[in-house]
Amino acid sequence: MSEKTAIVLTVNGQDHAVLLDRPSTLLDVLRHQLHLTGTKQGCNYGVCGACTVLIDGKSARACLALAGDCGGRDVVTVEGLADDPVAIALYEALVAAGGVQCGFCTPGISVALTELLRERDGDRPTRDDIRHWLGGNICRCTGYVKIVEAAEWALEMLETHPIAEESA
Amino acid sequence: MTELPPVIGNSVRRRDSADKASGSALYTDDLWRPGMLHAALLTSPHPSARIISIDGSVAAALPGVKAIVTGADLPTRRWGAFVQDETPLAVDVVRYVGEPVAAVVATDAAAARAALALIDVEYEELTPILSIEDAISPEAVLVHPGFAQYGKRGELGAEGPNEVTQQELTEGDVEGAWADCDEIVEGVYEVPSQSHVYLETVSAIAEFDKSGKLTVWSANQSVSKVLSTLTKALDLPMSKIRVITPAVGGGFGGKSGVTVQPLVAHLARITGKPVKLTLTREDDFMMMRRRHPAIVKVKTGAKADGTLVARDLEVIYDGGAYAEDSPAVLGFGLLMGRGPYRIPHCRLRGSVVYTNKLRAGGFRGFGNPQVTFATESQLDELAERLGLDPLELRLKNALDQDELWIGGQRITSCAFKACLEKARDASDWNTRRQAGREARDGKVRGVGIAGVAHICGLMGTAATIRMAEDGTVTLATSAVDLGQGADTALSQICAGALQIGLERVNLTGADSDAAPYNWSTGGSRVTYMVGRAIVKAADEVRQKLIEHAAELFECAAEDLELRPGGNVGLVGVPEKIVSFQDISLRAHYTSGGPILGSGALVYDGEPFDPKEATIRNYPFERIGTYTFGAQIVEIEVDTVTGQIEIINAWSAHDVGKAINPLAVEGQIQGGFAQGAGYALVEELLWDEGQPINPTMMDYKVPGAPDLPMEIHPIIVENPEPSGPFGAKGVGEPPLIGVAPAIANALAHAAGVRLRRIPMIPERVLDALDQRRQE
Amino acid sequence: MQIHQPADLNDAIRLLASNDEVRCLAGGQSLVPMLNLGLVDPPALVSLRHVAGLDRIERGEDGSLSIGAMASQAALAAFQATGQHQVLVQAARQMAHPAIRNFGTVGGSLCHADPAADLPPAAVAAGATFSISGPGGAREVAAEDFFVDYLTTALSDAEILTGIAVPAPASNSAGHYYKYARVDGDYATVSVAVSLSADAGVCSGARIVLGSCAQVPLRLDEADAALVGSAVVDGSVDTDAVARAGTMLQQAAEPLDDVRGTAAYRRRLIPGLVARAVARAAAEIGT
Ligand SMILES: Cc1cc2nc3c(=O)[nH]c(=O)nc-3n(C[C@H](O)[C@H](O)[C@H](O)COP(=O)(O)OP(=O)(O)OC[C@H]3O[C@@H](n4cnc5c(N)ncnc54)[C@H](O)[C@@H]3O)c2cc1C
Ligand code: FES
Ligand code: FES
Repeated sequence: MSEKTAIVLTVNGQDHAVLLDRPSTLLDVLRHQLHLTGTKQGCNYGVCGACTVLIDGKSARACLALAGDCGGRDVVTVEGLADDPVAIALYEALVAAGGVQCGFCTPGISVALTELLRERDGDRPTRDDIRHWLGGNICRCTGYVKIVEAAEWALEMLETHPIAEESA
Repeated sequence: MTELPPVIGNSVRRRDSADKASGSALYTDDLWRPGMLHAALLTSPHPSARIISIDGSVAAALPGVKAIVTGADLPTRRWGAFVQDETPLAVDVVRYVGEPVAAVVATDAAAARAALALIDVEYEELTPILSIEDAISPEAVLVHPGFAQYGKRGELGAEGPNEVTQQELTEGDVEGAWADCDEIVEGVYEVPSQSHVYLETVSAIAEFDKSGKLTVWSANQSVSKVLSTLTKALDLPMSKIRVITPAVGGGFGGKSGVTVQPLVAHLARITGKPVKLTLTREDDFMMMRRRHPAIVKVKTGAKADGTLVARDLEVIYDGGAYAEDSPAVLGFGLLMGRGPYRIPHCRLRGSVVYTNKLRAGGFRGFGNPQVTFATESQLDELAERLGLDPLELRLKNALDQDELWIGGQRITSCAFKACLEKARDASDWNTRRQAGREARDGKVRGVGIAGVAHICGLMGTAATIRMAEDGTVTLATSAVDLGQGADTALSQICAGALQIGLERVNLTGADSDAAPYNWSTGGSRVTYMVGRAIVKAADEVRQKLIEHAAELFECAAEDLELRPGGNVGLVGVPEKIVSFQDISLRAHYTSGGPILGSGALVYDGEPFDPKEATIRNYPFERIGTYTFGAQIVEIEVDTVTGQIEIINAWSAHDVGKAINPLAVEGQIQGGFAQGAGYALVEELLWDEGQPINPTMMDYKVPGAPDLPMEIHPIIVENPEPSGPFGAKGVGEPPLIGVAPAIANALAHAAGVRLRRIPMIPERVLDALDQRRQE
Repeated sequence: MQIHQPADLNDAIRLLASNDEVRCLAGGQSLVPMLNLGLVDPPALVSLRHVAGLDRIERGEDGSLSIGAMASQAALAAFQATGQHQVLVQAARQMAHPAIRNFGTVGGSLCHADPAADLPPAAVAAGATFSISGPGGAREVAAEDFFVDYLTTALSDAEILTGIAVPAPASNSAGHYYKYARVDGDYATVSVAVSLSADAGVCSGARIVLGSCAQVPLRLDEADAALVGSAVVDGSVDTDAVARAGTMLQQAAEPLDDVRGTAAYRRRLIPGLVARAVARAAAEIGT
């Protein structure tokens, strides 16, 4: 166990050489080695969604991905969405709708919703789609209403101001 | 009240939201110090046992391990808000499963955790007290045999075995009054342990600098409580301690006491390095706090026309292994025992007992939800017996402004009736009450109501405002923003009081080096209490500004006024003004010194009146400024499974004045969601003292698909004369009425009455089956 | 702990065979929580992610369905299924949460064999055949024989589930997965997987399978037989027949007893939920 394994992780478009001396999760590496602390730990076993990141464009539990199995995958954290038009619309909407209270769930929710709104091609997610999509992201503060409303606002913003959505 | 400044009552954007949404806000575990070590805790596997020996030698030899610390290594200075019964690590005995017994400090958290398994602890198991019934039995062993010797605050009146405190509030002649009642209902109600499940687990970092000054960053609800406890626990003067609260990922009362800060500070002292401890979710579930479970016996009598006459209420709360805030929780509960109604004869008695389970503490509602579940359920039972509409029964007996609360305090502002009426109208109550109950697919519908009351005035607080050279201000309060938006609302109050734009108000974080005392973020008190302190501080700033301007203009101070936008002007002469900036520059560089204002107050409402009531062992001398609400919920009950689904909710709350309406709505919806969890699914369970469900996999909280979007907040504004711009608190009330409103809706939908929550499907189905058999 | 990433099935099998304690890693959505909670500590893992060809979901020309073990639960949930195959898709849609379905695999869920999981009863209802490869070569087992006990399957050491195959649906058939849980995304308190076919107004085939009602998915020949031959009219099945089937299953059940429901409670739910699930399947068949 004390043997170290070297891997290369691609996070937010950048390659990082990482030494692992135990079966670390992606969450551990992001927070404690790469200091990308926007990804939160609420449970460490897949229930809360605070650790949501995108792996190959799909929302994923960083606490359930083994870092050693992530080599060659494209990992994007909330920090990597800073210039993403979908995420920006979401941030704007979450703030304006009052969807942020303690904020601990919010980065994970932003990332999860980014996937939903990005992949909406033609099929507009309904209110129920959004609610069920958020089933995997626990928020203990808001009662979810304003978060769902924010997702709807963001959707409207993106529809009325279609922008090139390819992120950097 | 004259016209309010535009910043008041305005849903301005929360200052912290953009950082939080994009992940750049920093919480305690996001912080890092050079050379920092990490701690992990070994916990007790027994609910009650004597520690015979602890051998950490094998663990200590592991690579990366820097120290193994046990209770015996630390000075025994017990602390506690009311009873000094706590130590950072167990000493000699363990009192609940999950109690920290030893700490490992290592170079990283995983190494520290790995070492735990190698610490060898020998225990001698003792008979545990596992329920309220066990605790109060005359032969009960004592959870704290040394209770009598502990330091205590105030008169607790503990008498029976394992009793922490015993209190009473009584008015009138209850025993004599039953004869005047046409209908009397009696019942025993049972409420569970609810876990806070704030999304950020408890975390703290402690570091000593070379001068011996300690800095502690931690997730907490009160910088001041952490500071005063550290002073005692570490025997350091407050001048040598700095307490900082970074962003906090929710608290709901669970972080209101002192948690791991003293331990982490000791570990930093022992190792000479900064030390961080972040609890795993399991540890947090098993080691922190929970809502008090309780057994509530209530008897209420009324006249045939619905006039309430008498109530007898007795509540016993299970406080768990340590007393923490229990006396205050009981005090709040009893104060709400009569509810916002006129009941001339009332006897409200209660106690808290120790058990060998996780300590119970403050949790949104603070003892009130337990009692209100019982009393508001019982009002519906009474209404049914009397053949009255439950909402009408409440309206008929509702208290009004200027009437007396139990204990004899005058109610300074009250919009309870308006809350009931607005919720009734918004929900179309009469139609829904009469509507056919059968819905499709084996499901039945019903609607229920509960009245809500709470307080928002207690304890002390302070704020300072200092004006910078350019006329902008820095507001300092140590109120912690747990996510409810206090930082923004308090800044709005400051901006409003000085009639300046919000962008001209800078707020210090909750940092003991920068900000003055504030008791706590709890009791729904921050907007009201801290807001008042800010208004006072702003008033001093205003006076000083005017004094300077009077010198400048060579006029009398009485002829000057604040003008919107940061100016002082001559009354009646619009063009005669001087800006805050000019005054502040003058103050800084030519005369009088920088402008500083401070405001401090201890809750100053009317005290209890001993002529009105018999009051025994009450933990607060003054507590009050009542808030009101009405909760209506529409549900659908699946008669095949017993599962309850919430369809609609209308929550009307009298907030005095909503400083930031969007934030108030957020409190209402979020409180409703926690109340729904309490009512329907949440219950911490133990088997022989072993926690059964201390994980988020097993202990479920509601997710987005489990709650309706139709949680309708109804803000009722009726200014409180003493409140900042008329505001009162709203942090806790939205949770309180949810469980009884759902129980009442269940009775309406399916004709069954559950006197126990959570109303898990199996309990509902049992009741349905029983009814089908009858 | 090493994570091997073989690209070839035989390499994967060889690596697994090198040590008893070595395990496959699929989506990690059950294995990693166990690692994090310290419940397992394998010396090495063999990731199946790079093994070619394991993640396909394909409909054969004959209408049969084959699902690779490494197909994600999300991919199955998005699959346009017909007839009895719907039971699998509906089960996949109700599992866990989106992010977990994105990475959790069909094979991982089946091999984990949690008695409260959703895909196992659905696979039994669909009449799937499981394809297994191991040091001794390839073999096939029926879904029902795959689930042996709590978290235990018919896989022996170093064997890998490569995929499942589901026969073509009957022409007039439907599948329905009814999940009843405490809250959204939780494991089922009780689940009912139904596959139903009808011919000229008469039930021609039925499989009713319960989740969380035994250590393995629970199906009874007698209960299924009780439905066959009963009338299927206007999208509903003869209620007496359904009630008989429900009672038989109720009597045979040995439900789980845990925080998601007591055994007694789960047992009580069975007839009512079977009726509901069969009714919904029947409604999907139509007349
Ligand atoms: C929060 C949460 C909620 C969940 N809710 C549900 C739910 O509601 N319903 C439900 O059904 N499930 C639920 N799950 C479980 C989830 O569906 C898992 O994804 C699934 O059980 C495992 O699939 P995996 O691909 O992630 O497998 P892994 O975790 O990688 O593996 C699971 C086990 O199977 C073995 N294995 C995997 N693939 C193979 C193979 N091809 N051959 C041989 N052995 C193999 C592994 O060695 C391991 O022992 C939940 C999980 C979480 C974390
Ligand atoms: S920390 Fe990953 S889901 Fe909770
Ligand atoms: S805002 Fe606090 S958990 Fe969502």
